[in-house]
Amino acid sequence: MYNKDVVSMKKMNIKKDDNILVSNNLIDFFNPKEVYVPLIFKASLNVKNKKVRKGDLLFFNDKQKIFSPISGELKNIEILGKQKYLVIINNFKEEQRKKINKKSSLKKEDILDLINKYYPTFNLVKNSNVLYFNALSDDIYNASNYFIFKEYQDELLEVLDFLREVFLYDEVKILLKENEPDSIKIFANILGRYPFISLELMPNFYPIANKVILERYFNSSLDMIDTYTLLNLVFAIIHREPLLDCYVTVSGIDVKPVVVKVKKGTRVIDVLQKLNIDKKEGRLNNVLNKVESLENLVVDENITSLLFFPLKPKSKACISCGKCLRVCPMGCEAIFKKNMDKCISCGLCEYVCPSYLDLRR
Amino acid sequence: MKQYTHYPEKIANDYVIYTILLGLLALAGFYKNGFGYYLDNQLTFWESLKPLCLALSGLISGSLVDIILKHRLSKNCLFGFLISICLPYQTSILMAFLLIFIGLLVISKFNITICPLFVIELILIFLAQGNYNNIIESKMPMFYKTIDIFLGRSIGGVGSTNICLLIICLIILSTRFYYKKEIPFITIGVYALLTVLVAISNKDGDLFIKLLNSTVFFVAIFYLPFNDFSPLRYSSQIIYSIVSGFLLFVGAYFWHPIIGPFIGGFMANLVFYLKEILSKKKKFIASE
Repeated sequence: MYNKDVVSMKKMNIKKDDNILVSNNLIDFFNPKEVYVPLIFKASLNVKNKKVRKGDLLFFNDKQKIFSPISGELKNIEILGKQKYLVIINNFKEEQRKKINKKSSLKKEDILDLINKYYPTFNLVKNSNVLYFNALSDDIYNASNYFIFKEYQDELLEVLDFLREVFLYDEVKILLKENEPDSIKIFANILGRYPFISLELMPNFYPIANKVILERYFNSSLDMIDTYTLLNLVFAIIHREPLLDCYVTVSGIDVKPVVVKVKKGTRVIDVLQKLNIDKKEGRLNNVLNKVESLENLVVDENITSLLFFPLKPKSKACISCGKCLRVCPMGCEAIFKKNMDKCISCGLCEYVCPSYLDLRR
Repeated sequence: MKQYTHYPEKIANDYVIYTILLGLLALAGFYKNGFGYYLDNQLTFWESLKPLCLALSGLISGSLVDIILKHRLSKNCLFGFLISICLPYQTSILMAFLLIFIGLLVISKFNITICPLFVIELILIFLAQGNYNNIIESKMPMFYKTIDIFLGRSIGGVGSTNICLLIICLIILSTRFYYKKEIPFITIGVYALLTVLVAISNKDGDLFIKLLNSTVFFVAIFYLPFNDFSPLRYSSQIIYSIVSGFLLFVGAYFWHPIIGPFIGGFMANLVFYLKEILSKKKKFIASE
């Protein structure tokens, strides 16, 4: 069943600093002064007056719907970096909405309607009889997934079961790394209620969470959803509202590692200010990623961690060890600039390079 | 670990391990070619120091090159040590010191990658007229058993005769991440295979003596896998090892059991250097 090439390929692990342990407590940051909602292409504005409520549809196009993450007043349009944002001032108290719970009476059409209403970007093309939930993470310092699993364990499985019924899958498999006992425990405790959902433990090597590598590992294309997609579906189907919060792990040297639950659209520098972290540059989502400026960044689902680790030392001349060629899971020849179209930017070549060269695409 | 997230092993540590292992070989050579004879009262203490001084001459001249070129953690001292450790006993210490110093200076200054160490080694061997006998070996004919050869009591470079130690070096180096371990294993394997095949076809009696050629082991373990002079691609490394094994065999069998492997190694390096030039596979030297 498994691809021999991937099973036998040189498996690399990223060495983690054992002293960096994420706090067990989740920190909430729900009251930023203002949030930045990205303006999307060819979108129609849905706002009638200046005041918006949390969860109100702000604008939409054929593919996307953008909801207000907070209740507040529209301020203006601002440009951060290359992106235009609608700025909403967080200046009045949110109204408590009634909790809706009609999950027991949901039919297939209802589920599809809810998905279309709150998460229209969801797109699942059925190619096989097994649906995979990719609960893996390649970022060794990322603890966001764990907190999501902990908080929404029942609902995640419930929605997976809904999806199985709606899209007519035979079974659902949750992919977890074999070295993540905490996450395994969370799901294993309640899996008994869902006979068609099972855990599949994956070997711990980098970058196993990448869809391309997983598909090569299983030797077939996979019907797969990731953690944030599933969480969006949980909010759409069960909570009947769009997902407006993100989980961001903040970690690094000289930083107290925490996971922050933060409103979408909050500026990264505001989150750091709240945590008393005076940094303007950091790595996003993976410790092997390049350092970038955080000043113009706004929290969204693509930002799962903010990492503050030392800069790469100055590059030296290549010593021809050839390790970059050996470790590349995609068969790119970075040192010769060959086959670089296959590069998934995992950074393994740079991780092993003794000369600290910038090799990836 | 307050440092950049990187693979935990460092290439500098590999160079240190290389140097320590060469140091052990030098000490074994010192005992075999000097101190052992001093304990048997066959040499004076000062005479017994020559193999050690010869081995250290390369280390010192290489370090001097590093100091002059202001290279930190450079390979020149290691290169110097590598060259001097398999020199013939009859090589003049001053000559070795000067030639290694000039050779390494030129190599570093002009960034020469076309088998430079083999060239210096071969020049020094020819200057010493390929005479590998130490003082005692020159005086009387020696007869060796297989175990003598395995334990390094045979004729050879000042520190490169101990096969037992060389195998230990290979095992230690194989555990290092940046060491191209496939090269020595395949090279020695091909050499052994060819030696056995030829010995069987010729009905040779001294198969084990030919098989346990310390210079072949030394070249295969220390010279050929060195990153700077070996191919980058895994497939090329395999071909390079097979070609090297064949050329080492040809050199050792048809030329000279001690000098031959160096010529074979030189040829193997040369073939791959030419192949790299012909295929125009230039390395992308990024962000230097």
